[in-house]
Amino acid sequence: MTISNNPPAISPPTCELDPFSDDAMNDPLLVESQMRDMAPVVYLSKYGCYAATHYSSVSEIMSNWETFSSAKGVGIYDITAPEHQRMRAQLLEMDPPEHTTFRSVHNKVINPKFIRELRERFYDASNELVSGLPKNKPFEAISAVAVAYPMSVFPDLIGVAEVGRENLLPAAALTFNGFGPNNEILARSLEAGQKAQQWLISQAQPGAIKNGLAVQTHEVGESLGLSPFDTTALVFGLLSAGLDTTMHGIGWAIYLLAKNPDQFKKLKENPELARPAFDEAVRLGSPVKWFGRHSTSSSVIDGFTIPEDARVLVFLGAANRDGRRWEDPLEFNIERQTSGHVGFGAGPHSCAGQMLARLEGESVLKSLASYADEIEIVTEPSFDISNSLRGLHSLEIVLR
Amino acid sequence: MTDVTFVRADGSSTTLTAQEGLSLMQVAVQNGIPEIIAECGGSLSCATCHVFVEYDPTGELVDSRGAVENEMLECTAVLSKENSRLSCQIKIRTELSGLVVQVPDAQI
Repeated sequence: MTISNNPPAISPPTCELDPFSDDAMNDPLLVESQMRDMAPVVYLSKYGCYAATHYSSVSEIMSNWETFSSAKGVGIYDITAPEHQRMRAQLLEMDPPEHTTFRSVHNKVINPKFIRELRERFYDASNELVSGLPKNKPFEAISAVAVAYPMSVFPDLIGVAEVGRENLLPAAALTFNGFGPNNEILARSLEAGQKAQQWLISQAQPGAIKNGLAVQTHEVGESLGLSPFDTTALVFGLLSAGLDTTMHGIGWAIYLLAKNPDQFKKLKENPELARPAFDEAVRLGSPVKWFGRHSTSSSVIDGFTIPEDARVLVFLGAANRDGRRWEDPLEFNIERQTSGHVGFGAGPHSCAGQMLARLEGESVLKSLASYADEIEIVTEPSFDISNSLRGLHSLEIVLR
Repeated sequence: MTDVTFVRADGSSTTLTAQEGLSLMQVAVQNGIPEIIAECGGSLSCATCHVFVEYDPTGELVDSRGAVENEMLECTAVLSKENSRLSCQIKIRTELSGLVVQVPDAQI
């Protein structure tokens, strides 16, 4: 006889909330906390899928790729179902061992050693940009810093030609909106981004970009036995996943430092905190709201049963703001031990470019801390409306 | 109980009682060993939880490195050696009691 101390597993409670409604878009933290208060896993009746919002359930699902597969898509729909059929995103929508070779290309090209060697160049670039910002005069910081800085370093690094760069953001926005439900937001994004996405696909082809990491990605991929189609998908992934997310991380960091003068003061006193400050902003802001998985077998997560062949959305931000894991979760504390936050994901699909994002975030925050004594908010921010990203659209500030 | 010892760059050492099932990295982070930064939280993406295995009661640790871990160990801030491991990939079990690792003085 087996004696178990665990209570029997039960079905996740049904939740009628809609994390993609207009209300939720305007106040995502409210919906997320309502879901989180119900259970570690809930059933979203409107979409017929499960949602995990606790740190424990989210990290377990993301790490257990065998039970929670990415191969049927990482959006809200099962992309193998006839009504939602689309081509899968290579790498992102694959499981090991197939995933491993694709990931290895990124690991070899954007490896931590290479990124360390970019340090000086990236810091020079952020100093140049930040030292040109106005002082004692209001300006819009998202376009002037959070967007401008990655745009000044990332496309060059990948090797993207100057002409056509305006396509990068609408194309990326479409990629991230495309993971969500078939709603108004996606319709608008399709209109704004479909041509841009075609341009991005053309840029991702072997030979289209003549230098930089795009070329290396094709070369390393080929050497590992990947086809031109496969390496095109990898370059497409780099171009569409590497900008928006970092911009949102920087946007959050500027906003949170402006909102918390004591933390900006700490950063000024110790510029080495720039890097942890960026991670804390990624934790608290969580630029990627959620990703989807598909269960390959029935399992019990935090005492709740998730059946086989079900879609499961993991809410990264909800996990990163879960009071069961984080002390004063909504407080921005740049000295917090943030290791283990899931803002860059977790498990085999954790963000391949996270060390590059950290370098960009660290550089720009260091530059800001040495250039300005204070950051004041002039107008509270407006937020981007996106099915799967969360970040600032505009924020007017004054630097003193 | 599993005792693990971290030897710091300055020669001082800290012995911790580690809970089984956690990774060595998690034990270090939870107990404030500052040299173990572990930015990616254990998903083999950052190479900032590098350690040198100085005494391994099982004798198996160095041989159980995975392919991705090896890839990451080529990118550590302090050059990796034959006895290098990423501490996020070492799962604590009782047989490891007595483990001694040296932490490098740089991870980023």
